Amino acid sequence: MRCDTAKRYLANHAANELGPWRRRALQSHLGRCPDCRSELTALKRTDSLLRRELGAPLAPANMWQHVAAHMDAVPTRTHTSVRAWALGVATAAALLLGLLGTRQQPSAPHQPATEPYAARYVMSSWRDPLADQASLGLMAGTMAQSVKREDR
Amino acid sequence: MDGVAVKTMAHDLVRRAQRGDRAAFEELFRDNQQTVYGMLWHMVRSEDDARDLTQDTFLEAWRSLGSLRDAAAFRTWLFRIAANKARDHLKRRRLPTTSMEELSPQSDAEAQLPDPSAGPQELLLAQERTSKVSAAVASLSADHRAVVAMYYLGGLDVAEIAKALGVPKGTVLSRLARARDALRRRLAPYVENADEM
Repeated sequence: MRCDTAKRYLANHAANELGPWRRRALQSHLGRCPDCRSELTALKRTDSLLRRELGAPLAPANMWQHVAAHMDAVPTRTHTSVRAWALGVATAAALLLGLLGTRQQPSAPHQPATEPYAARYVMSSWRDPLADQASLGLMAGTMAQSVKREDR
Repeated sequence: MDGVAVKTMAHDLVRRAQRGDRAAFEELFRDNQQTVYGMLWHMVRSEDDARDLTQDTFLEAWRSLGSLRDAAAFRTWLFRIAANKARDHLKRRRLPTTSMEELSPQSDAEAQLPDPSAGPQELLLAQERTSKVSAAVASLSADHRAVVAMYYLGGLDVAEIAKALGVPKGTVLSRLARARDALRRRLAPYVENADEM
């Protein structure tokens, strides 16, 4: 092994990121190269100095109060809301399927019951940031229905 | 308590917090706030900004906890949020790297953790050493500061840092090697007197 390769491996070796084969080759090189040995010593000393001396100011004591005060205002993406989101998407998909079904029966009379429900759902889910995809799906469906009626 | 028990307890806290348990999240906050704050402080070099970014990091973590699939990866995931916050902040501020001379001794004095058993002379030397190390780290680029703070202060390994920063392991290794070389040159008198680990 040449010294430039060994020096490149030394940094990986210090970070415990050298495979067993390269580690053995490096150790064999270190056994006969005083320059690379002194390089390893300097590297270990730098590591030691940084581990011991690298500090930071103490974190302010009142940070938790600030975080806790704002946690309620933050909409969480917990398992419950994921389920609610999935339910919203499923409802939207069911409504869209329903709309596609009515398109296949052009002579069927317009069913007014769906539209107020869709409008109410859009209004209620509009306030829920996780339900906006469901809302958009519904809005698209409602708009498509309106366009269809105007065409007639 | 052994390492495995500590890890199991931490994973349990994450799972409880994911179910909306605020007390569990508070414990996670207490366990990690100093490391996250320290890393952010090294990256943005301002106590006020580091405080705000730490708070933002934990609020973001609370908001997104439900999307974390592996409870064991919580710490790496948290550091990733913190690193992204710092990166956005630096982009907005376009913070230049600071030369060692530009750093006021007062700001570095705050970064010291003196040994209470040391005498006044030793205390002064320890303060000077900590101050020089801190100033040398501050003179690195933001990318290198992030890796150095995560590795030496946060105790993350190379793979964890790679995940936290969203870069390959080779990039972390090369940043770490370059940062260490630069610090070794800048801190030569202190490196010569340091112990080998």
